[in-house]
Amino acid sequence: MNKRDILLIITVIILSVAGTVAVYSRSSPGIACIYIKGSLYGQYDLAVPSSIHITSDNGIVNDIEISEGSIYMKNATCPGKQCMACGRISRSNESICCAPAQLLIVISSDREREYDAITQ
Amino acid sequence: MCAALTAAGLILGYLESFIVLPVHIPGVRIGLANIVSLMAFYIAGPVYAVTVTCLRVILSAVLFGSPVSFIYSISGAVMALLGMYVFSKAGFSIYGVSVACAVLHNTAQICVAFILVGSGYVFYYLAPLCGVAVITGLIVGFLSDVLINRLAGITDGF
Repeated sequence: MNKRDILLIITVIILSVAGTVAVYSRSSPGIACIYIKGSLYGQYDLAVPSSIHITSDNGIVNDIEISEGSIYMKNATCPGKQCMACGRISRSNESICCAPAQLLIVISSDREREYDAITQ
Repeated sequence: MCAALTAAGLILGYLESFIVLPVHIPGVRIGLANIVSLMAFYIAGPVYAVTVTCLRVILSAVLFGSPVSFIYSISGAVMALLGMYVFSKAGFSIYGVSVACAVLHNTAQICVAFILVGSGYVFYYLAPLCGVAVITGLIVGFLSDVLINRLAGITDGF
């Protein structure tokens, strides 16, 4: 092993550590899109905590909350409460649906699911 | 000698699939088969290295692999061979050459994954993979170095 080898190895290690840190610190929370009756109602940044109240045409009130980089159905006056049972979502393509209110929350973000493709 | 090295490379590549590394990154391998390429390169020259490596990759694809795994391994192998030539000419020892091979092998495979998967996210994978490549490259470099010296008596004729 000579000087050049050591230089190469150190360079690769530095680049790979820097790259790994850069990649994992960059993962920003995504955007939540809320759809009502199939049309876009609004887009919300998951990095900004907020609460959204939506009253649908048939009188169902959905109380949606964004905090800690995720979104969840805090309260809903629908009969089944399936939307509340979904819990917090934060990853791309995850969704919460409140069928009686015809309301859909979908995440679109940079943050992919853990594995989006595996080949062997 | 080509045949012996190719056979050894096939077996190493196969045995390697049983070795599970304590790293939480899927698809990480030591790259033991590269020992054979390095040996061919340092004992008999670049032409032998290309022959042995291509034969090994084609045969292992036919025996154990699939068309997809063939694309991955041939692209990695071609880049590794180019790196072997360039880096040894640039005055690196077998350790440096081996690490360079490992890194280039990874880079080529990530590029192929990018084309096949069609998602830029695979590049996120490159940085941690190259960190591991340094360690595996050094292991392979060390083993090749030892083997080349031990077999010097037998391989003098080449």
